[in-house]
Amino acid sequence: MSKFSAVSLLKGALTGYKNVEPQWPDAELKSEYDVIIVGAGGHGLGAAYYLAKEHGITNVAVIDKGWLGGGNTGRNTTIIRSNYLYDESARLYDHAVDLWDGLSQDLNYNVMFSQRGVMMLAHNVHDVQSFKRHIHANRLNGVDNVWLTPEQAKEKCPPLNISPSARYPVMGAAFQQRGGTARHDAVAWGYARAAAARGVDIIQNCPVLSIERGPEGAVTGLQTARGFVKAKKIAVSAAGGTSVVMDTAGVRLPLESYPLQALVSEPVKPIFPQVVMSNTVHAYISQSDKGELVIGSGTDQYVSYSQRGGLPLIEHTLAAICEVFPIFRRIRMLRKWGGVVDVTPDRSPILGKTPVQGLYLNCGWGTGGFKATPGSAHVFAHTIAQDEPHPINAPFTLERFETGRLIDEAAAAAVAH
Amino acid sequence: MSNLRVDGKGRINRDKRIRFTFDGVSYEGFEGDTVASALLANGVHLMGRSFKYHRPRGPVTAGSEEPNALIGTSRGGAGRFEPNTRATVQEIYEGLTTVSQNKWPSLNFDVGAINDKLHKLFAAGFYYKTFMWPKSFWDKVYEPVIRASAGLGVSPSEPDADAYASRYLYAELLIVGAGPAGLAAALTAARNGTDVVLVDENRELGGSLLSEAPASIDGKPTETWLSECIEELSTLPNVRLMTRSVAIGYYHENMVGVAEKLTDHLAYPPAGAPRERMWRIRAKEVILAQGALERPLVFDGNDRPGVMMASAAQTYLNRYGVKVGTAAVVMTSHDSAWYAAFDLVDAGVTIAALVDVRSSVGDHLLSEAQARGITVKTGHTVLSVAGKKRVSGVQVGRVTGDGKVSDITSVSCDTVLMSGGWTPSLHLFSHTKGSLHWDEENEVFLPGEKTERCHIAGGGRGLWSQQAAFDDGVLAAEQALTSLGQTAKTISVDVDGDRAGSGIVMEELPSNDDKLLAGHL
Amino acid sequence: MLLIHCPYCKEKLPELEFEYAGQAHIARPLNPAEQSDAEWRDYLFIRSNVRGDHAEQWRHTHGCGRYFNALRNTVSDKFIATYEIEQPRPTGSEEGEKSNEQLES
Ligand SMILES: Cc1cc2nc3c(=O)[nH]c(=O)nc-3n(C[C@H](O)[C@H](O)[C@H](O)COP(=O)(O)OP(=O)(O)OC[C@H]3O[C@@H](n4cnc5c(N)ncnc54)[C@H](O)[C@@H]3O)c2cc1C
Ligand SMILES: [Zn+2]
Repeated sequence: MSKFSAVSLLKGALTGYKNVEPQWPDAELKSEYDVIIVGAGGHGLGAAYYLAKEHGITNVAVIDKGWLGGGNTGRNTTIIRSNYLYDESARLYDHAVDLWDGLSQDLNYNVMFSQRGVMMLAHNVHDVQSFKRHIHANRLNGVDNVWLTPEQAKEKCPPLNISPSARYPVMGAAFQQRGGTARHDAVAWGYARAAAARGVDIIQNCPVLSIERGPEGAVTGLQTARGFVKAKKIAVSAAGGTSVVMDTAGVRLPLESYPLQALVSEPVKPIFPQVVMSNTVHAYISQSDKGELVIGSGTDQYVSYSQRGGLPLIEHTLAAICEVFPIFRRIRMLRKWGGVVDVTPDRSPILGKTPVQGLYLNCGWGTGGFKATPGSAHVFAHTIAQDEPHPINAPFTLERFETGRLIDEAAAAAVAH
Repeated sequence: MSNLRVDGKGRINRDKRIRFTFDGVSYEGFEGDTVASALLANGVHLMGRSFKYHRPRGPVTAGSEEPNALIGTSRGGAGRFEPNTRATVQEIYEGLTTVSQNKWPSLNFDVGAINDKLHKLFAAGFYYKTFMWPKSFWDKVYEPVIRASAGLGVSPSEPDADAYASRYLYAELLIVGAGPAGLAAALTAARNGTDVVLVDENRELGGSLLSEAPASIDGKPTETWLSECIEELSTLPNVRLMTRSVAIGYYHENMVGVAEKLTDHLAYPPAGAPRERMWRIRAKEVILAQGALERPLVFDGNDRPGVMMASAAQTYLNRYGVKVGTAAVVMTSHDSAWYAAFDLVDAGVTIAALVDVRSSVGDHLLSEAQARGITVKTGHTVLSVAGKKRVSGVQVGRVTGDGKVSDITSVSCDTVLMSGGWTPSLHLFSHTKGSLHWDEENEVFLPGEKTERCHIAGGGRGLWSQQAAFDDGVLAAEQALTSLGQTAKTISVDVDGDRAGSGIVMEELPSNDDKLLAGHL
Repeated sequence: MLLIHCPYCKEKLPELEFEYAGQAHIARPLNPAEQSDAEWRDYLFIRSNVRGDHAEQWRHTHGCGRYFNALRNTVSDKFIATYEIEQPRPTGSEEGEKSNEQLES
């Protein structure tokens, strides 16, 4: 696979792109792998990349039931931040932010990581107190996060309505400058291309039907739509589909899958410099590099795999956006869609080993796992390769729901993002 | 007024002249015109610039599917500017101000058009492959530049000055689309006493009947039949007709969101009137009769102002009384464009050449073309288009056995009308997670398994003639009524002079080089 | 927006009147102190999250205010039945909670 460079691009331009290679080969499913990863989202593809790059394990397949990146990786609103409350989370999400910075060069694929800053609006006294607590906790963990007055918030984000008589008055905001966005499709493609270049097989449109275990209980392989494949290790990174796959291995999980919707507007000239989130009104918004306002909504209340969300939710979100940013009322929405998000009781992910030998789990990212993609993939690869969690993901066990050592990020993740 | 208006054609009100502005220049049109039809009547095709390469663009369609002619609109006063409005949908009214978008300093001379010269560098997905070196340049240089060039129209800068309303509505049967299929379904159900709501995004009901009237329906001139039909429907107490109403989403349990535009066509909206009303319509049964969209063809320069869908030219002529040019080349792979050409010739437009990529077509088409003196080139293709801000001619050649092109000649024209056949409009159906199945023979996606209580009728099922659409609308209504537990009395609508047709699908037209692969589209 | 039949009001009403209340038929242990950690975890956190017919609770918050049970397919979102809170899962569907609908292969 050739490397992208200014020279290769110019050469392509001059030769009319006659020799364009596919970005990654469409691999044939082999009969046996050292590691099979179920789910070709950012987390699964990323884990494959780091397995190959940092652990020298290249006899790896990533299998997806649909197109790679077609799950939540391709459906999210791409917000990246690390201002979570607890020490464990701060380390995990900040590890990701460190890796985001430099990911384009590492992958030789521009993921357009944009540290434009993330602002979280406080609309009431509870918000103010909670965000200030987060800011203090973040500072102790070396994570940047500052408090803004309403005027400072407006200065950074001119469309914001800070009138005291607004339906949702702005009492201040927490602001993380290192936060921002990245291009989600480029993240999936970049990892896929870089992993494939190191020998990983990427298998698309091949549903995994069940995980098979031997007499001793350890995994033996996978039943797929294209037949049985042997595997020494199996790593499940299937987001909303995780409980269904894990059930076939006899592992039941503290997960529920909910619809989560997002929308984009018609593209307009740059008007919105930051990412702004409002937990209280369940809305968040940024402007893509194409000019669309990217708007995220809340989860529907019921468990569902339909990828169809309800109208009341997006009406509520848009009503809130129109109150907080009145100049956007006349802007039309262009598209809306839904994903299936896997939510844990403490709103923190499950990232580590399972009771089944050779079976590893990365799930529970719910409404907010895009931001963690490189960090999570990196420590997941470590866990798979060493059969031992990386110190960063060691607290995020499945056992915590039995021991009671929960990592309750409900406040930090109160809004889908 | 320009001589591009055709006497006796169109459904505009010629007694009511209306003035509006586009980029500061004042133009005149008639009540019933859209911004696009009125500008075309004034000989203006250049209405915008493309997103990335800033290529000059004019309207390619005459409806809500328009990708090019997007403009900013305002009726004046703070908080009334709106970006990205389709010129092909926005009706004109006295005092309407419109502006073109994505140009600097002007639509005619746009500095951003330099990107077009560099298009080979900016191929599809180029961002991902570049702007990575040196790393520090990303934050400081590349990203700000990329972000600054984003977007089409400018965002409003003031809070919206208008008010909006919202309502619920319940019906036994909701029909989306009031073309032949939707009208036939509505008549069937309405006469049965069923509680019916019929919505259409256009100003008038009628759909394709407004653009292409068959000789007669039930023995009456189409216009008479249509007005009688609407008269009948509007007097029945069990029927609600909604125009300027776009079905925007299809949600669980047959709830359809409908945005009704109330004042954006009025010079003086009543004080306090809402600008739009959002309806949540919950229906026991839904019929989607949204027709089909004409497919463009792929050839070099197919986006030049003056190149448009054949059906759009036909709509501008028959609905708005506007000739989109004086000398047109037709490029098609489907019979329907032949009929568009016939209508245009009959209205005084010269067809410089009728190019059909198929080597043979029906004799009746050839003889009708011959009767009108049209130069027909079957087994030929258009290779490229000349002209920058307006088409000035095309290169036409013969398709040889090996898929290459020979005997290339130039034909001058000011308009190119293209048709690559028709694609069923199944967007709303897809909202329901209804499956689509690929029809090998006609190379279209057709509705497959349904998840809601809905029926698709007419063009949406790949049926191309108006008779077939009427029949299918009746059938869909019968099915819906049966499912409601009602017994439907069937009706029939008889079309005379129906223009049935067929065509083939071309992914890309034959050509002698592969420059299109360079992401120039 | 879903339409939900309240078994008490005997009316089909829009989802906006209702609140979802999680998986149904999870009995609270009578004496939590006697539970093992694993049993307590199962009670508190483990959910079927089935891809298929799901027994769940809803509350008719803006109506009669009562909790009731429902059987709903999580792929189509269609309700199969709603029934009063004390009633068992409809017969013939007991297996459902464990059997995920196969992915189309
Ligand atoms: C609308 C929306 C907005 C969001 N906004 C944000 C945000 O702003 N910031 C943020 O940090 N996060 C956000 N998220 C969450 C984020 O998208 C996810 O947490 C993250 O992308 C998960 O990545 P993943 O790789 O684990 O999962 P996915 O990308 O979903 O990948 C899982 C893959 O597994 C495959 N799969 C499932 N079952 C099987 C099977 N049986 N066999 C084979 N393959 C299977 C699926 O097809 C899928 O491709 C949002 C999510 C949504 C839906
Ligand atoms: Zn009730």
